[in-house]
Amino acid sequence: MQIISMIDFGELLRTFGVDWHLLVVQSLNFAVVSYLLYRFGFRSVVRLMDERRAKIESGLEYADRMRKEIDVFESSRAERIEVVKKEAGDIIKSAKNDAKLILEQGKVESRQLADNMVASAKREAVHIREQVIREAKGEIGLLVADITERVLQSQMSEEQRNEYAASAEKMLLSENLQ
Amino acid sequence: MIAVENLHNSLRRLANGLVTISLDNDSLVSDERVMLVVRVLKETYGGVRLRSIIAAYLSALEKHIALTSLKIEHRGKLSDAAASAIGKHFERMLNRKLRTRVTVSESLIAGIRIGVADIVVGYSIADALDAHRKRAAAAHLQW
Repeated sequence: MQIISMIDFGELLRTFGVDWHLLVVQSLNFAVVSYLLYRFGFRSVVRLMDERRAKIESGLEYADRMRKEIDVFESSRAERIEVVKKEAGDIIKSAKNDAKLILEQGKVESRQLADNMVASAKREAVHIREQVIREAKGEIGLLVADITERVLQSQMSEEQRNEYAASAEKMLLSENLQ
Repeated sequence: MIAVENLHNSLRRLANGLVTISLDNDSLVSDERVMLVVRVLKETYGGVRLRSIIAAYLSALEKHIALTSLKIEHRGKLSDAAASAIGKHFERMLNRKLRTRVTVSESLIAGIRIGVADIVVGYSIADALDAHRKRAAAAHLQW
């Protein structure tokens, strides 16, 4: 039954123009060509494709890692910017406070300096006034002495001179040089 | 130099001795005794030596006369009795005899001024005004 089937199948192939020998040779030929293609062409292409794939995967991984790092950096940058903004705000606020304090201190010091200058000027004015008064007193004293001398020299009567001399005599006699 | 100093010291001692013998009993300079001393000096010494001794003697006499002279200046009436009383008063104070000389001084205006050697006591208007001037000048100089 089985042989019949094979004959039938052979006849069938002949019916369709298939030559067994040629089919086998071509099959062998196909196998050799396939092997050669696989051995020298397909494997290298596959290897190149694997390398490319590996490179692409590596690049993608790298890009992915970079993206993640960028995300982390962006988030940290934003945080840092916030921190820096806050620090800058604190610094500006502190600087403003310091400036205010310095300004207030400067005002106080200026006021004290001005007060001191005014007080010093007042003291100097009083000193000068007293000096002028003393000088005037001295000048007036000398002037009074000169005028008194002239007036008494010309206006004093002899009787008054005698009285003065008698008084001087009494004082002299009561004088004790020791 | 030392010899010159010794000579001056000898002259001074000699002049002081001559002054001592020129005084009277009241320790005042006596004109007669001075004339006698000068005459003896002239008879004893001569030339430069005589002139040096006379000069030292005169200088010592002037000092003694200044110490024993009471100068009373006054403006206003001052009787002889008052002048004498003042002289005696100062003799008691200074414990030595004084030769009183009284002069009228217009510049006093009124009052009395006494001078013995370098001591001056003024009770006159001029002295009072001078004291006033000194106080005024001192107040002026304080600045």
